[in-house]
Amino acid sequence: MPIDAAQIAGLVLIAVFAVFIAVFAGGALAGRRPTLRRLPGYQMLPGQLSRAIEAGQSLHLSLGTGGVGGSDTATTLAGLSTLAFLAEEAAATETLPTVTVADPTAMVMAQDVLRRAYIRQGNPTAYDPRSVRYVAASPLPYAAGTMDVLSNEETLVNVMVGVFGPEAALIAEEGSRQGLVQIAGAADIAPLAVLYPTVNHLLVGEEMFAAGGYTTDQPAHVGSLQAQDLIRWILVVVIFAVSLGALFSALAGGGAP
Amino acid sequence: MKTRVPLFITMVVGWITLLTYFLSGVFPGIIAVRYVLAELAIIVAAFALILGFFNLLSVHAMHIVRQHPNWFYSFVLIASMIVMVPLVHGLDLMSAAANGQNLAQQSISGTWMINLYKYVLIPIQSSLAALLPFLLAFAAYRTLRMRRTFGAAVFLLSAILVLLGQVPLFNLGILKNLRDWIVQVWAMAGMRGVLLGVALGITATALRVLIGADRPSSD
Repeated sequence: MPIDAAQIAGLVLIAVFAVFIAVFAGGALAGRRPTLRRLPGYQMLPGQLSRAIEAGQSLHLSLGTGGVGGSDTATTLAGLSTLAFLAEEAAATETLPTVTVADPTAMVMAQDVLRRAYIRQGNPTAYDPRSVRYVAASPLPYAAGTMDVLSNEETLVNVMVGVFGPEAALIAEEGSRQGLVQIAGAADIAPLAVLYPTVNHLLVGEEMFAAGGYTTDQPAHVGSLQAQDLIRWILVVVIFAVSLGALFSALAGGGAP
Repeated sequence: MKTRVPLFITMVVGWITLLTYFLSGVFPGIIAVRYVLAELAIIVAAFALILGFFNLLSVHAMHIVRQHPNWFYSFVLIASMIVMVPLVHGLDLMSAAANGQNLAQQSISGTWMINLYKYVLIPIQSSLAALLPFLLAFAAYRTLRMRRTFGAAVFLLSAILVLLGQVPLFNLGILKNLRDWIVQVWAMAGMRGVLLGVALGITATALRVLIGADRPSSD
């Protein structure tokens, strides 16, 4: 069986995307950095841990119910990028954020991100693996366990970036009841809808995957944001052209578009 | 070396898995490689689950030792772990052995285990899920009070219109048509836009890992 048209199209799209990322990352490395649009969620993130420390409290990061190794890997990696940024700040100030997960593979990855940040800051003994907590394996018990963390531990800021379902509303509502500053990001429609009325700053869909570009300013991350934008515009033009083509062909044929 | 090995393994495994989706027609045998890699991932995840179990145990044991607020719930959790694992499994296995049934099957679907799920876990989870609509209604009301923006007003107005079009109490054609228009045109268009952006974000994240620009497991 040879390669079909859809497989060729997929391969070409991935190859073009990879080339764009490499080109734009090279440009960013050479100093041609674009001005990123304002995303209050990420702009608020720096300093949140310091604010929590000043208030004698801590920061909670929820990575949701996703793990590494399955279809949720990319979304979980976006959450881990946010954790990597917070971990550097935490390691410098010797205050551990509380991280809750519902998948043991995400727990192991989160512990590794925190541990490496403490080693980089020359403070490995201050790292405690128990600051990353495996709460439960399914969404609702995970939400219940995370609500308990928010209500009983001294927390000032609640960050939720990862895989969520409608149960995200339970966690965000508890955060709201405790008067926490809340930043959340999700890729699915259901959690976005339920988080919108509750959190202070919502990262919608692709904004969540831009964490690295906004928090670390690494050339690869900034380059991939530019590549995403370019591919999006190409897709918009293609969708628009195909829709117009279908409309004109239906009008010419006398049928409904 | 220590940092390059995980990066190399991630890149090689990632590229092989990706290419199996596109080149299976040319190299049919490549699908078997994907299955082997998937099985290896499942084995690694199983070991991670054991670590997760001990993490849960350790966190809640510390809560009890330090007399953390609500430490009693930590005690209930640890007691449940002890009861669920050896006692419930043991009872199911004993009853299976006495009746000459398949022991492996009974360890996951024995009567005691099923009853605990059916009469303890599922009712608790259902009660929690039932709170969601009330929480959302309250959150929407609070949004109107706290965040008087155009977006919040559109959110609340469309939510009310969709709800009114959904309930049989107001069986008005115009409300149903309005609901369909909001759901099928505006919500659908927005949803597709978000999903398109998410797909691009996921592809970009995966490609960064595959070309070695993003190193989630090493510095």
